[in-house]
Amino acid sequence: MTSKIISREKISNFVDSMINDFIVIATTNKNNVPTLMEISSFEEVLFDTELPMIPLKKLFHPAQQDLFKFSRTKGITEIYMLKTTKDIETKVVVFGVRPCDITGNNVLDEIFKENFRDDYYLALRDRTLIVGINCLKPCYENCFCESMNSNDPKSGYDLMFTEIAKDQYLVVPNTDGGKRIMELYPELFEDATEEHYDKYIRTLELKDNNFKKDILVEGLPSELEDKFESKAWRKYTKDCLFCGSCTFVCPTCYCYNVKDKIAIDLEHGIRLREWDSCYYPEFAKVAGGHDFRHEKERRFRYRYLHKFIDIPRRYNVEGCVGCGRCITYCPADIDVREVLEDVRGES
Amino acid sequence: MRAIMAHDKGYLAPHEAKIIKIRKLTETTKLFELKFVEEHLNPLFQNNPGQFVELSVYGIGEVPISITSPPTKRGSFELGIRNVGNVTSAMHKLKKGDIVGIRGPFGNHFPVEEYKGKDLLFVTGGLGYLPLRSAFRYALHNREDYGEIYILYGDRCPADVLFPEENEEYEKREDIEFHSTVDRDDEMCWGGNIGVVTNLFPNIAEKLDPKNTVAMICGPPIMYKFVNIELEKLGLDSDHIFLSLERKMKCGVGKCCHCGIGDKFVCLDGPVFTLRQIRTLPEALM
Ligand SMILES: Cc1cc2nc3c(=O)[nH]c(=O)nc-3n(C[C@H](O)[C@H](O)[C@H](O)COP(=O)(O)OP(=O)(O)OC[C@H]3O[C@@H](n4cnc5c(N)ncnc54)[C@H](O)[C@@H]3O)c2cc1C
Ligand code: SF4
Ligand code: SF4
Ligand code: FES
Repeated sequence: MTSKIISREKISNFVDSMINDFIVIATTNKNNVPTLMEISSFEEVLFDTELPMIPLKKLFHPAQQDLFKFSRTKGITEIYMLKTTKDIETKVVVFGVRPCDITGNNVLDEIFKENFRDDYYLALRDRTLIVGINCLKPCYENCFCESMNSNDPKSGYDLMFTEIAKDQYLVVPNTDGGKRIMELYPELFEDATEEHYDKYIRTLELKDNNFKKDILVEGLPSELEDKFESKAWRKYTKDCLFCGSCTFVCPTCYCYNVKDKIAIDLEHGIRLREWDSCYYPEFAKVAGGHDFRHEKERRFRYRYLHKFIDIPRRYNVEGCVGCGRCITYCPADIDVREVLEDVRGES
Repeated sequence: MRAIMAHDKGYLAPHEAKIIKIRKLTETTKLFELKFVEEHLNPLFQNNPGQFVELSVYGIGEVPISITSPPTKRGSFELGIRNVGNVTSAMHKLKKGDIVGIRGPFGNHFPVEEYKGKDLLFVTGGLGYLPLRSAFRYALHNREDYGEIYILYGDRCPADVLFPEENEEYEKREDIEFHSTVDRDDEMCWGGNIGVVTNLFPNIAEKLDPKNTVAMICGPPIMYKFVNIELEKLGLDSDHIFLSLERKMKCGVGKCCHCGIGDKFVCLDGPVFTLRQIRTLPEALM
């Protein structure tokens, strides 16, 4: 193993050094909301803090993305994706990503690679290195990552920092890219000794003890299938405002809409895609007004079934990583754990 | 069949196609014949029956439309489009020579090729005729490869009936059995059957060999409900009943999630499903 040791103090040098060589993205406190954005100094970084409101996905699947420019009479005149692919000379490093978000992004990687590759997403994803910070205990009351098996990802990151003693971190590279970053700044790292590895192992044992399962996902898909008609769905449907917040903050929600925006010359325009939400009434509605998910209850239920049945079945990964964002940002105080328990508890 | 798209363009960027012919089918439906502007794409474009394209009217948007011409038509292809909303009405305003965008062909297909040697039963209602036309014209093109061929077609009223001249031809042919009906005939101009498409089943019930027949169906959801009952009464296996589903679509390739039913995407895993598959998908037929 080529793992190294770094002190808390040197982490700031590490980040500042990376800023010279890469575009560095980290969680900051922009407008008093934890926000992932490009930083120009370590001072802007919220280091030991909660998850960014909008997860990693926004870097690879932006909330709004121009696809191409067209002329109404001639067709496509310029494709923006070519531009982004050329731009990727400069590598991006996302610093301080939590394990659940790494797992969540692995879900999107899977989805955007299946069958038809989404080159818009993958061009941005492929130029990005991810530096993770291990969680040693649940980060807040809404976290249930342990239940969703998401706090120990095996892939989807390049480096992982684990605090093995106060202000002392073991840095484990997971890819060649990760190794290369460490090699760029040898003066900041020390070699890891037997003793460090012992501490690391003890830290991971401690981590295991700190996390408890809230909900059992084993058998959940077939159980939910049986509870398709449960009355509990109706109860929560009444509270839900269908604002879509839960879907926008979710690391594994990715639906999008495609739109044309035409300039005032009525000749030129841009086709773009933007995040959509299955909680919006237009989501499944077709011409003539027929809506395949007309009743609110069906719309409410769909998100749960999609996350807890359909994604696991189709992609062989969990569709929820237990980050708790949908709980934190729901104006109606709907808690996904409670909904699942209620539905399961119904006979 | 592989979709025509340049990978450097990304899957959401269409190829330009030119309208080379427009024909009015009914008051609200037109048939467009299209050809790619980049000549080299025309021989590459090959559809299977039941597949669709994503059609762009630049500045208005993009919609899924079935390819109504059979795979045997090469060099150009046909789309039948009913004017129902923004993109479709913009399409109806375009003229010969105008440019649109095409992505596709997408989706799976009716297994016409796969069931050579079988009897085929086609049942269709309304606009469902358009995708199914590709399938039955393909089978008719290779008539000697199949046993009996039955086509049952129902539409709302005589004015809505699609391709009446082709239907007349099918009616005359000895080697296929074609029956059509309309729900109502207010103008009293229809010489044929009146009533829903399931009323046509008695015409074929005696002859049909359920063990050797594969059914391919396309029409509105309400039609499926009644047709499926008839087909199972006749003794067809739910693995031999193929239905094409409609859903809202944006990407056409399993990414935008608009067409999801359970763990399936209609655009990618469908639009054609067996009745057996559909029974395992919640909310598929409502
Ligand atoms: C696989 C498939 C094959 C189809 N084949 C044909 C065909 O051969 N001929 C034909 O006339 N129609 C067909 N349709 C229906 C056709 O796609 C809609 O009529 C069309 O999308 C309406 O778009 P609009 O912009 O005119 O209407 P609006 O009501 O303005 O629609 C707004 C947007 O919603 C989406 N949308 C609306 N209705 C539908 C719908 N029914 N299906 C999917 N997306 C929809 C589209 O993205 C559309 O741009 C097919 C639909 C599907 C799913
Ligand atoms: S955030 Fe809460 S209120 Fe808004 S759509 Fe989601 S569950 Fe409903
Ligand atoms: S469903 Fe909620 S808890 Fe699960 S990944 Fe999405 S936002 Fe996080
Ligand atoms: S149309 Fe986008 S997933 Fe099917």
